[in-house]
Amino acid sequence: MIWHTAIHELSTREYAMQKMTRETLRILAAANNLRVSEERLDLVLREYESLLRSLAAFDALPLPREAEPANVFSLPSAPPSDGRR
Amino acid sequence: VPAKSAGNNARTTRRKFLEISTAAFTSIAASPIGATTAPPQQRPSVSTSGAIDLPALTIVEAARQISRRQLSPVELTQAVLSRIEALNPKVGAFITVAADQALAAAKTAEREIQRGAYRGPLHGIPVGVKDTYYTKGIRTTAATPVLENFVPEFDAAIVESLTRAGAILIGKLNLPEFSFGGYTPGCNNPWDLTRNAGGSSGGAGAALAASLLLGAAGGDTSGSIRNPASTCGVVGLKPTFGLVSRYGVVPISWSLDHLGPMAKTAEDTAILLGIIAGFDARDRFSARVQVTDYRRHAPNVRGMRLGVIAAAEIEQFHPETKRAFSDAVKVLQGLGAEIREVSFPVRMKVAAGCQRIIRICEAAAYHRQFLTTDAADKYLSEVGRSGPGVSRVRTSVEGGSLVTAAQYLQAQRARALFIKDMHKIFEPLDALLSPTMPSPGLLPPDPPETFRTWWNVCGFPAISLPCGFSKDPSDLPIGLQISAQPFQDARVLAIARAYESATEWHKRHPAL
Repeated sequence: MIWHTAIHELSTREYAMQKMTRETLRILAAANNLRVSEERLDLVLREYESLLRSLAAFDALPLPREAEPANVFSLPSAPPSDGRR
Repeated sequence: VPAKSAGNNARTTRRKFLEISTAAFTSIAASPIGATTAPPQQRPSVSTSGAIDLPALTIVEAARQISRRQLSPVELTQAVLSRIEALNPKVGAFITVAADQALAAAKTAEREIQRGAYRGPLHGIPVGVKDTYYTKGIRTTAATPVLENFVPEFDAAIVESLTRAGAILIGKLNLPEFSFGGYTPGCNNPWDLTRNAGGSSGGAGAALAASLLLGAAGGDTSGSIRNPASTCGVVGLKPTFGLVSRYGVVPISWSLDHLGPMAKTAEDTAILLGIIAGFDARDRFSARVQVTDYRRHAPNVRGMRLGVIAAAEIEQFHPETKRAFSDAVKVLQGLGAEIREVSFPVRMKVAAGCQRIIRICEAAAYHRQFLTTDAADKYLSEVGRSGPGVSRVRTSVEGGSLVTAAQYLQAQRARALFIKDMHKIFEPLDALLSPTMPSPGLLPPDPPETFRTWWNVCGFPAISLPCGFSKDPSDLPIGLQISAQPFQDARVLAIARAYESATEWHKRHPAL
């Protein structure tokens, strides 16, 4: 029910989000070694803003402090045997 | 990527499989197997003229005849190749047809069976795989110009398993660029060729519906097996995460991708799963579970506690879908299942957001090898184009490249809680039912939650099977989705088989 409350609050208030500009995106793309041409900048900008909206949907969730990601690193329970000790 | 043959469409003349072959075939042709030898849940494979329509056979039907040496794998493969040659230009299910390799494999299967070395129910059965599966010596394009000349040097684990079982790989099946999206450009729905087959395993769904093969394997990151299965009126299973190896497949998202079987019936799907499931050390998420006979559970739902998505949860779905779903629930209730309505907390919306972020971040990591080189300019372009068939892969993965690692891990943290919640939801249930798609034929509406990506987020098994057809527009298939707890794949298949035993939707064929 904590999640329910958090999401309800999300739907009733504007989620603060820093505005990404074409210029910022151009710099960010270059820093990531992406080849985003001028004619494609707006497309990528719209995509990124849409992803930020998806992030906002769960970024405000009150995750328990100890919550770990679902894809934590793990090893097999027994090491593979190679015949050596 | 234009469709092409991996070899010449060479045809061999019909050969005598065994001394009794011709006589047996004549005998079967005169005696419709749907009425005499096939159990009632199997689709009839007899044309209106009375002749056996070989490509329309189910795996169970064909295997029965092959094992008895009444049907030649070469004859079956030739019939399938002929049908592909005639219909693929209209349906667009295949990217590559491996005719020469298929015929060579069929001849090998025939020789083995002749000398008594029958390998099991896939021996001599023509199958196809999505064109993301690595196939040694056969190009693997993922429907993208980025990989249009990629010829793998090894087979995907699933292809290895199918080949080991004696299946005949007929070809590589169509999909949207890099499997992105629920719409497969150029792949038409056999039930209405003016409509799309869905996606991303659209080629598999269309090929099965059009009887261009008997079994297939697809991929499912956001519902991509179940969407085309529902849209094309066939069966598709997203197995439990880790049950089927993903080794040797062009990925979207390592922690969301599932590979699974598609077929004409639930029993055929169970046979395919039994062949492709199992631990594989080459897939780091592969589960160390015992492979079982996925037909071991009797097709019986008596006393089962089946959760049903509450009506309010699917209020925005198409009326025809709601009607068919309601009817399907009544059928299962009539078979003795106990129906329990289930509502979900609003946090299910979190699952959709998590899935989107995890998917695109992992995809961005994979695509970085292309995005940062000249290969970036080979992606299909969306500049100046719009519509459902326009690929947005490059834009999507570039956007995903800008999401931070911390944001990605937040999504994975929220995912862990979602999985925990989903286990609680299943505590009083044996399985959960929902419509697979919000509408038939990819029609509007397109509500924000469709109950498909949930199962990719939590990794639970989910199947789609036909549960009706629309009346307006007419004859578009509608799918029922059945999900259960992890590694309860056999239960999901048993429920599906029970439903099929009481209905005839899976027996319908489109007129082509």
